[in-house]
Amino acid sequence: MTATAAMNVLITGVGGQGNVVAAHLLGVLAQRQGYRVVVGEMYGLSQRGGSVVSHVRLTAGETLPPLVPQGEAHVIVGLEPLEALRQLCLLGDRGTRVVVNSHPEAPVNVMTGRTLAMPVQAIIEELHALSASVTILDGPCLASQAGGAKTLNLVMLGALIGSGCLPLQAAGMAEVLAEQFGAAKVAMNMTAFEAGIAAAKA
Amino acid sequence: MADTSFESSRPAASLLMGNAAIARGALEAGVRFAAGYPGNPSSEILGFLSSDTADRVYVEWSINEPVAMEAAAAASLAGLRSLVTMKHNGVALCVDFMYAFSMTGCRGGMVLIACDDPGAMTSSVEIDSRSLAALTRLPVLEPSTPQEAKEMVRQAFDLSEEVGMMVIVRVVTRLCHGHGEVECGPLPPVSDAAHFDVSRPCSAAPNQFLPLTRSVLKKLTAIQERFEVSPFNASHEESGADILVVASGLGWMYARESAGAVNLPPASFLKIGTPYPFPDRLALQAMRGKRCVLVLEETDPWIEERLKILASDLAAEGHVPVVLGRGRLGETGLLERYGELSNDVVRRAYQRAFGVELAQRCRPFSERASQLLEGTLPVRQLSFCAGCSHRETYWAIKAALALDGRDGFVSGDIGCYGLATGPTGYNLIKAQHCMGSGTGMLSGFGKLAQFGWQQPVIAVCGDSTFFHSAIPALINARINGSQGLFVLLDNTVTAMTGMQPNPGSGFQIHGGERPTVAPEAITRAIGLPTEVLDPARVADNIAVLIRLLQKPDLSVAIFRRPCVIHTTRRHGGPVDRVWVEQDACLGDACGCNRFCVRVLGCPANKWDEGIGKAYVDMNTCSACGFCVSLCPSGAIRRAASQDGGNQP
Repeated sequence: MTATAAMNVLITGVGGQGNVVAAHLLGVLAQRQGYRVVVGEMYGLSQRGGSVVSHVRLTAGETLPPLVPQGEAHVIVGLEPLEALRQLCLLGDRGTRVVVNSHPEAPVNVMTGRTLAMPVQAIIEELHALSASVTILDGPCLASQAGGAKTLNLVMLGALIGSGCLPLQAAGMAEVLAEQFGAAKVAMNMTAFEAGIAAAKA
Repeated sequence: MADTSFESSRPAASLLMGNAAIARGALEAGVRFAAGYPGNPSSEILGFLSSDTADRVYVEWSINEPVAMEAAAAASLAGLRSLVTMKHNGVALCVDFMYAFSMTGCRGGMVLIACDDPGAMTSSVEIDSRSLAALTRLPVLEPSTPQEAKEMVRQAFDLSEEVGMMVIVRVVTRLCHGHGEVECGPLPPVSDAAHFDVSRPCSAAPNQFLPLTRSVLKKLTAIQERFEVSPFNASHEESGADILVVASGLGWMYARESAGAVNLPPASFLKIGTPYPFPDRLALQAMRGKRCVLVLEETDPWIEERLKILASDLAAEGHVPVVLGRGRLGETGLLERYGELSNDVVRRAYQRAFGVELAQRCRPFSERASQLLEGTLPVRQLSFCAGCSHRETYWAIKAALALDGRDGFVSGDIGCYGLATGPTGYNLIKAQHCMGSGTGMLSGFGKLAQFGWQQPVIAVCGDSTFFHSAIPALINARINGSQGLFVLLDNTVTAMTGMQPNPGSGFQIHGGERPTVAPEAITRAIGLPTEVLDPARVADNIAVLIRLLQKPDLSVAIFRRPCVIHTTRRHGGPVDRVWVEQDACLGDACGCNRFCVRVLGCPANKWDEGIGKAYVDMNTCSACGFCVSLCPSGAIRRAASQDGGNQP
């Protein structure tokens, strides 16, 4: 029951990027490796262009509430860079590590000119300045090589494991995918997952 | 952390969404009949029930919440265990029935899952269902984790059946949509013997008021006695501690984690899992001898006010504790009077109540983070999906009202189309309250001519809302001679909450077909001239709307196209392809001022800053073609695609 007992992961992006599925897969993988898991989600209205964030909390003991306290996010997985920076500012601290897809999804209000854009270079610079480490991937490129835009979440999950930010092993992911999606979808998703691991280690 | 030595000692537990745990609890209790109306955060519960056990349980999406509750109550009167689910607004709608039903009582165990949304994250209001439960004299359980939610739902059926009252399990967004480890138990055998014993009528008739009221009060007293010793409440007495933390729901989880994080002085804890009828003796015992009591609950100061009343009972003993929490209206409470709890909110409450020190983020970090959040990071405003027909319908409404020129406006309510309070629907909706209210207001606005009123009013309504609550308002407007225009934005499905079927959808929760009720059959039967329009024919539709706005009576326009997300999920992506012909797009030299990205606000219309021209995002576009018709240079093209359209 202390602040350091949990490993806190935030997976963030925009609606349609497979964020919630990624959080569930990470939770099941961690559970199979012996952790207690709780996942908090915020995805209402996400289909209409809103932000999505999942809080994944891993512990060795007591069941925790679903929200990560401010300053206690250990890792932020950004399926989208602006959302990664937003969560870093909201819940991270100097020691937070970031694994991020470099490809931005501009908010509709930026596209319409109602809100000033923040260039992706500036976002990446802020991530570097504020966090302990940043692992950057070209997510869409890796995903399309693996089998399509829908595998971005598996690429990023692979990058999280490959980054070494969490004491989790990649072993067992194929079984988790088979259990969650059925055997037919394992190969494509494992290709994406392994591409993410390799990219994070490169 | 990587030590796996505890692994073998752990029981097998599934990682379940809170709403799945609730469904599981109902199944383990032998539920046979379930009904509800969709609304976040409740929407997934019935889906989990129907996907797992189509033949064990009858599951339906009802037309609205009161009908869902009445249907489930009928199953209970027939001796079956029944479940009803809804979000907090629905509970408010059901209050009238709940008053009567708490008096007449149920037979088979019946449980209401009341899904509240502290912080109104996917709602426009914050309603505390505990207050409505106490108002209507129905017992309430409130879980803190998905595991406890499963257990409470299961046991709520037993309690309901034993005392003969519907039992409410009150849950909140973070529990419904979070995932936690849940140990599942066996499913019981079920038998079919549905029958209503007509020798025991079940009527809240006026001449029954006194005996039924006495019976309710007696039942509640008996339930309160049970709750005094319920394992869903837990008292952790710390010897010598003069402070007490009382918490319920998610508040209990934050209270425990944050107590460890902030080095709380020695404190006793009281978890409340049975908020109504409140376990008074348990609470009094926990408060006895305490200097200070802090209450952590979502969202109203409901337990807090109960404890303040109880505290006066301690006056005779010469020692009344101070009860802290959200406070009274007009005073500054320790916590705000609204909003969800979190570890951060609870830690600040600990700081203010007990003077503990809070760990701070490193200062340069927190200063820069605040700067970015407040000034630099663009928020994400919501918008209609790419290809949503509402964008075209509202474009026509906007144009028609502007051309009409009499300061007309739109009166609306809740649903995807409710986003027209914002820029994605051109800020057209000027009055928005609750399901069906836009049409009720049209009925009133349309009768103001005798007071000098000259503005045309358009009520907008979605198909599910039409069936849910707009029909009485529309009949009212018709028979009283209101002037105005009723626009139905019919996407044939309850899209906002996740594509649940409504009476116009033609399919049921399991996916099988069911009869369709056509909205135009109803509006014409009411006696209202009704035009059914294709939203894509924008120019024609503007002319139709202008014509209808000039009429001195009430008319109906139905804009119908199935929700694009629903269509894509069922039948795959578009077969057409839409693209910007790069040679034809003149970029900033066009003079259109980036019309396609600036004005339409479609997530698929994008601007390439590198080459200074528009493009269409193939991953997002659904090839509706609206932008094709509006590009002044004719640079946006649509054609049948050889390779199956825009979707990769």
